[in-house]
Parts: sequence; C-alpha cells; structure tokens
Amino acid sequence: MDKTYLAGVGMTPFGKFPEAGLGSLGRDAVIEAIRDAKISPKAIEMISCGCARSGALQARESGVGQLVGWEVGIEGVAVYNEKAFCASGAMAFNIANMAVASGVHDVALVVGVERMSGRGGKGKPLTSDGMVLEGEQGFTPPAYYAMAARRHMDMYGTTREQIAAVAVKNRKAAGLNPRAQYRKPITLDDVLTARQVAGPLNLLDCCPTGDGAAAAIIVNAAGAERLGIEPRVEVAASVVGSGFFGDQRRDMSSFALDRSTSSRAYDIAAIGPDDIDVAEVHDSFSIAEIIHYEDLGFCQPGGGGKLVETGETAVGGRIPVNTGGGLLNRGHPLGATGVAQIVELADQLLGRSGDRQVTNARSALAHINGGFHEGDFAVSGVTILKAVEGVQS
Amino acid sequence: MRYIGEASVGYPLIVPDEAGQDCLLGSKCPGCGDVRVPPRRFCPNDLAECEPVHLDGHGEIYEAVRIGLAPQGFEAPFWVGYIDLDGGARFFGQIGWSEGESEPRHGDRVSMSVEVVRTDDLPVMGPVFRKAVPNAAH
Repeated sequence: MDKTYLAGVGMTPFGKFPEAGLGSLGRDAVIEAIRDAKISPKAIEMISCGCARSGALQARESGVGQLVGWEVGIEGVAVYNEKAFCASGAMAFNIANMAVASGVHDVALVVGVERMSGRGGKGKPLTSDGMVLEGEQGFTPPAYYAMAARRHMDMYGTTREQIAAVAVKNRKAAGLNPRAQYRKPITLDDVLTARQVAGPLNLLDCCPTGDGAAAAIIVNAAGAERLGIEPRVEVAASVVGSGFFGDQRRDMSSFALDRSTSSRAYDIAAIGPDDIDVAEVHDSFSIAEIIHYEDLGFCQPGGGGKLVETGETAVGGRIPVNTGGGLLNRGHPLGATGVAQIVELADQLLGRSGDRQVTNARSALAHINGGFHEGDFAVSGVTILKAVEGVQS
Repeated sequence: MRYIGEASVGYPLIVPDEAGQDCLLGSKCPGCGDVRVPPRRFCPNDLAECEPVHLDGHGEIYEAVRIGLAPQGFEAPFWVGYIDLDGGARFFGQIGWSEGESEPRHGDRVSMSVEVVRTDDLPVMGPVFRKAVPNAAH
C-alpha cells in the first residue's frame, strides 16, 4: 500500500444557512480545499461524498457527490456516496484513502455535507435510523448517552460538574474558531441549569443540528509528483468498524467498538495514545467525550472526569481535545463532521490554527461514532494524521 | 390499536402466551441459548435456526433516564431504560414512574404491563416496566 497524504483541506462555517443547498455548501468547501492544494478540479480522479440524511431532509437520496462535482466542474470520474449516520464523512474519507493507498486513484476528493436546518420536528431530538423499534417507544440519542452518563457516574464517581466541564471547555475553544456555530462563552452554571433533555444531560450538553460542508484532498506520492506539490500531512491510519451487536449486556460506561478501532489505528500508525498531541473526538453529548478519553487511551478507565476538570484536555493542556469546538459548539451537520475534524487537525499540524494553535503539534487523532444498532454504535472511525518529517509547522 | 413492532419489524412484539398473559416475543438459539427481542430467524453466534420464545417481562433495570425533551409523538416527562430480561435479552422500553416514588435506577427489579406508550395519532400499545413490589409475587 502507498503512503497517503493530505494535499489540501477546506470547510464552510457551520450554522443555520437556510438559503444554502447541499450543492452550494459542498461547492464552497471543495473550492477552498482545491485552492489550498493549489490544484485544478480537473486533477481530481474520484469523489467520495458523505451525507447522512439527504433523502429524509432534502428529498435527494442518491447522487450528492455528483451534485457537488457538478458544482465545481468535476466530471467523468468515479463517485462514491457514503451513508454512515454521523460518521458519513469519516466513512467517505476512509473509502478515498483506501483508493489512493491502493493506487487505483492518485488524487481523491473527500467531501462531507449536510443540510439540516429545514428539517421537520424542529427543536425535537433527532431519531436514529438503526433504532426504529426503540424509537416507537421514545428512544433518542440523548437518552442513550444519558444512560451512559449515569453508569459512568455510578461506577467511577464522575460528577455532573465534570460532565458539564466538557461543554464549557469546548465552547471556549469554539470562541477561537470563527467557523463554529456557537461561540459565546458559557459557564458551568449555564450548563447545569439549562433545560433537561434526558437526565442528567441538559440542552448545553447536547450538540445542535446545522448546515455545513468540509472537504479534503488525498494524494499518494505519484499524485503529489504529478501535481508538483509537497504534502505536509501524512494519513498514518484510517480505520472504521461496525458494532459488536452480539454482546447485548454491554457495559455502557465504555464503548468496546471504539477501543477496537483505536487499537487498530494505533497499530497501523505505529504510535500510541501518549504520542497524540491533539485530538478531535465525537462529543455529540458532553459525557461522550469523557468516555472517549478513556477508550482512546488518553487516561485510565474512570479517569476522564478528572482529565477535563484539571484542564488537561483544554487548549494549552497536556492533550488538547476538540480545539475546533467539537460537535457541541462547532456544530454537527452529520455528514460534514467527520471531514471537519480532519480539517481542524490538518490546520493544527500545519501551524495555522490561530489563537487555538497547539504548540508543536506533530501527531493528531480524529474519532467519530455513527448511528446505533441493537444497542451498540453502528460505526466507529479513527484517523491518525502525522506531520511529514522534516517539515516544521 | 397498534402494538410496538408493527411499524418497525413488521409484526406485533406483544403476544399472549398459552395462559393468555401478554408477553414479549423473542427468539432462542437451540445451540448456544442466545435470546433476542425482537426475534431473529438465525442465531448471530452460530447461524442455527432459532425458536420463538415468550418472555414475561420480568427483569432488572440496567439503566434508566428521565426524558425531559420528548421526540416527536411523545409527551415529556417520561422514563426509559434498558431492561436485562430474565430470559437473557436486553430490551429498551418505557419505565413507569409516579411522583413520590423513588426514581428508577440500576439494579431495580421490574415487571411488565402492556399500556399505551405513544398517543400522537393512533395509540400504540407497548411494554411499561415498573418496579416490582418486594414479595408481591409470593
């Protein structure tokens, strides 16, 4: 397999943009990525597009990748459209990375896009495709994470304040990210006194819905040479996995699927959690980030609450997590998020993250979950990026 | 009147047992004994053809939470949770709770009754798990 690299990245602001469409959102992100890579759209050999709910929300079930390609004049190429719940963008990235690593294509465009602001049931929690029976009885994703929170609090003594500290930390980071959906500072008290969604989680513990797109261009050495570019970020590992559905009586204070995907990613990248300088994790709900710290190996099981409380995962801490604001505050246009995480980490490794820059960031990890099925996640994705040796950020 | 399962798996998951008692419809693997609700045709562990099984809804709360902001079609507040059924399956359902009772929590024993769980258009009947009264069964 060939080594693969990021040649360019781009994204739109995340937020509510009712005047924008899937095509124009995707277009704006792709143009930024193409300009970042300093290449022509005609150099793109394939498109891999992640968009989770285009059918339900936009009456366009198939062909979102073709639509975005049409917007920017990319034609006659292979287009793969990936639907993998909240991990749709990460899955699209994984597909493109495999294609370029295998040498089938040398230059691939990844785009993740979602438009949610026009959805029905505004103000209500989203339901989940893989939990239709549970949905008949009132299931929503926040209920799942609220149960995980109660288990974690019960088993490890994690406090409500530690859980709320995730939301406060990530909002502070979002304040330094001009493209984040929510940027106004919040306090622990704001989180603790917000309207309850599913006990113990309140409104500010839950990510918003929104609109947005993100894009990345992946090349191998042959592609880079042909384009005359010198990529500075290596894709050291891209791993996805489906849930362990057989284990019904799973422990919800930890997510076995994430332990599996991250372990495989660390092996492929030949590094460990102590080598990670900055990470993006799937904080769809505040408690999730605490559990992810533990499953990704940033601390011992049960140590996640203390990790955020002591500031170790804040910008300036030992292992900054969600420097772009996370799903909680950058926003979570489903299909776009997995690629937006890559954009944030590439910017960190390239030293262009402005006031939220992590000093001397050389290795970065992105983690995402998507959907549910029989009580487990439907998807987990982990990507590890490394600054190319000899290149200073 | 509809029952849960009709809109998701295509058939009602509440069925009477031989004594006419409402039960949850599940499956059991004749090989490894794996029990699932809703039922599976083939066991995910060994692909053996499963047999139907009726579960009376007795079990233990794995975890429970109060829903304060309801999804479309439901009215908050209400409690939901995962129930570890005595037959072996883990099942997501609503948990009955009234003001003044201690809140449902991990480890509580529960039993099941069939009640309206959704009322937005056509009422949907489904299992509601309530804390068992100690010694009430004896």
